[in-house]
Amino acid sequence: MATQQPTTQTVAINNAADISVISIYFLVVIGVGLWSMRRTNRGTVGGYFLAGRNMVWWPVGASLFASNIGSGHFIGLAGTGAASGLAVAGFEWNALFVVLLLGWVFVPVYLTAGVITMPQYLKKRFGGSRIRFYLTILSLFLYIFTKISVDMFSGAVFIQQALGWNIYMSVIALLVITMIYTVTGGLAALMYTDTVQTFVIIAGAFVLTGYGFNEIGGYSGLFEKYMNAIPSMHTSLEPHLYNISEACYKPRPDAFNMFRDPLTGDLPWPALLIGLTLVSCWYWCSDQVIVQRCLAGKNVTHVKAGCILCGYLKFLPMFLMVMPGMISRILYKDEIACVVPSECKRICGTEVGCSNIAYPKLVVTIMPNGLRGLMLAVMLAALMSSLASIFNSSSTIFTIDVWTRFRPQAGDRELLIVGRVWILFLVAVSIAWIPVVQAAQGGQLFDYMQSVASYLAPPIAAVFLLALFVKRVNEPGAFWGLAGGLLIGMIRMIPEFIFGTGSCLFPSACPAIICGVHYLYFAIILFLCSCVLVLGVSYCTPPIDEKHLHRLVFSLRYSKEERIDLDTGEDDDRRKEGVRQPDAMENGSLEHKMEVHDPAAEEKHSLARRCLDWFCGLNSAASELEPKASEEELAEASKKLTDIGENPFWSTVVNVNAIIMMSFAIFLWAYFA
Amino acid sequence: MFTIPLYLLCVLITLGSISCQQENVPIQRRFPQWLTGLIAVSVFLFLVLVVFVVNRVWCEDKKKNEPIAVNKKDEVISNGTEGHYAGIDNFRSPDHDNAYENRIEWEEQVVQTTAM
Repeated sequence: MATQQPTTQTVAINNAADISVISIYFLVVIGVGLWSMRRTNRGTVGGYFLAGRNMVWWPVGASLFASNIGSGHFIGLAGTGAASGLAVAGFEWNALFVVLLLGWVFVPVYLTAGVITMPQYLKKRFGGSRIRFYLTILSLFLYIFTKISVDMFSGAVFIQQALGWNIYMSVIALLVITMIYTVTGGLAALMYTDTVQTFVIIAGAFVLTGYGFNEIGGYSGLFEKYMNAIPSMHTSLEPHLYNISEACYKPRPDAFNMFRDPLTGDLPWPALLIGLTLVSCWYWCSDQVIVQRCLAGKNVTHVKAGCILCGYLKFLPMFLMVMPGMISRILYKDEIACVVPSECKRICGTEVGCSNIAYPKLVVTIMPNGLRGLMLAVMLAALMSSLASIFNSSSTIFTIDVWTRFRPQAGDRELLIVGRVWILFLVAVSIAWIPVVQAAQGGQLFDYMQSVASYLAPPIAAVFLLALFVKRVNEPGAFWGLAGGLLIGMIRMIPEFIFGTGSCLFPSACPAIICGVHYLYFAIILFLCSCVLVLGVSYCTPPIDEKHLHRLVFSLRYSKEERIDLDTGEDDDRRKEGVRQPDAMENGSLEHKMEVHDPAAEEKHSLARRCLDWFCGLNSAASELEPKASEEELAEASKKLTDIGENPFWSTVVNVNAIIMMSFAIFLWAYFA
Repeated sequence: MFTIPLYLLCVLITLGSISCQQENVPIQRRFPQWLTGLIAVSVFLFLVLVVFVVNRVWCEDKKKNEPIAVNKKDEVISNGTEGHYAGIDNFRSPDHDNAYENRIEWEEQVVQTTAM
């Protein structure tokens, strides 16, 4: 599918200021990455087991934000803001509350359960292996369809606008950069570089927002002029084929409201409050990428503080991405708000609409030299931090939860290679999915991402919520809830993709009974159906004994009783030879998972080979230098790790901060309501 | 601080009063935006206060009943700790003297064999 080259000015990043800014940025990021890799390799007695769990609150918070905000947010939020106004910021501001739910409710249970992957938690909670396997596969699907392809597409759009390259060339260039970054980094490196990138993202976005508001005459200028941002070409060129109704190109009357009509609005307010919270529950509280960052926290108080920091940072996208999108529409109304299909195709290469180029267009045209390079660095920062986290997490769950099930005797080196080959496979599939992303949801990228998540995520959120709060829920209930939920989700998702989502001019042929319901309302329905299924099947089958549930459910999180694990014996026995690896993984030190315990082969390697191994994380020297921890130290270490006790003073400080943050959030929601 | 929203309000009112053929008009608001925000925050803080007070009262009640219940629970559950899961807190089984002693004997035996 060849896309036409856009005819907008292709400002090549070819001046000294831009190039030097980009180079400095890369050097800083790689430097921080290398520094953090060296730092976590150093060992003290017992430090091997606790090394991955010493993140204080600010890297946790920054990493949560940076992992979440990808280039898809820049493109998607700005694009939807340009097309339909402020309501899309509700997606970001809803997360303010859900991230607190993560820190106060979910993470204490995960920590005290002693797990590192979410499928592992479900395995401990329910026993059996089919749920874990199923969840892994589903999570991987979700990553490909909602995160990887969206982020890659967005990054490619940006490069296409900035440098004028073909979209697939841009994608390949992005991947090369991200692969270097991913293959070398471990979790600690990612989290420290995320902090750097958070600064870069916020600083650059602030600068752009400043320039943007300056161009349109300030904050009030935005609200005055947005309503008149109507394209000059809005009559149909082929009246016998279609007519262009006013609603398709005029800004919506409720563009400045976040709460929109429950039936006719494009983002109804009950859907935004309830449906989105359910999908967010999946994303923030039960998805590997986000939870992994919290599990690396020093203790529960640091995790909570990190969640609050992430919450405060999540206030920003409204002002840094949605409003610049609207500014872009005001300044370039003929291009961003184009409605005639042939015109749109000429402008941005796709017929459904050009709102996706809102942000890149703004960057390329109003930023001066040097700062333009900074913004490209910002986009690359957002893209790399998200993609690297997703690649890291998905390869973790693939190797731990899928590969070891089929090849339990696999050695560590094999697992590492499998993990990296898996990343290549993910990337290939994501590239193939890009054309679908481009055309989906009337060219509205953010809608596409959220709709796919709404069809697939609610059963997972239902199972996790019920697993945490309802002791009666057991393995058959959870499994059939997930399976049934997936089936119902597919009933909506497959027709929608076959018929296409259509656009304002050419609505989709999908029957109204299936596709007529807003995707967030559908998320609510799906969630309820999944809950009913889970609870129904659970009450019809024998319960799980309480002795298996200590520290796995919310009500028993402080329980000091011994737990008889439902999953003892199975996988961990089979990997007895790498006995340190399960422990390392138990303690969440994922970057140490990358270290191979292979003393015999080590001395034979040449210096070049050893350097390559160290760079790629296949380092075994560090583990040799670590003194072997004794039984008592192991017990002490694992006891310390699963401890969720808190200093009462700091606990109160953190709780008060959370209430302050929620007050700000509610004020802003009501202000823009 | 309030001038911007007030200015915004004036702008919106002005926009509404112009007869519009070409121009698009946003939905009018009844209250000023900052007032809506303030009301919402007050309601929220009031609810937090209510929850806090209820929690305090309820927890006090529960604490009075708790000490009896916890002991019963301990006795019931501790019986099942017959050395399945070599966990952290197994030195905390106060019910069975024998279990503890057996473990020591077993360890001593192991030490003896390896010393040879």
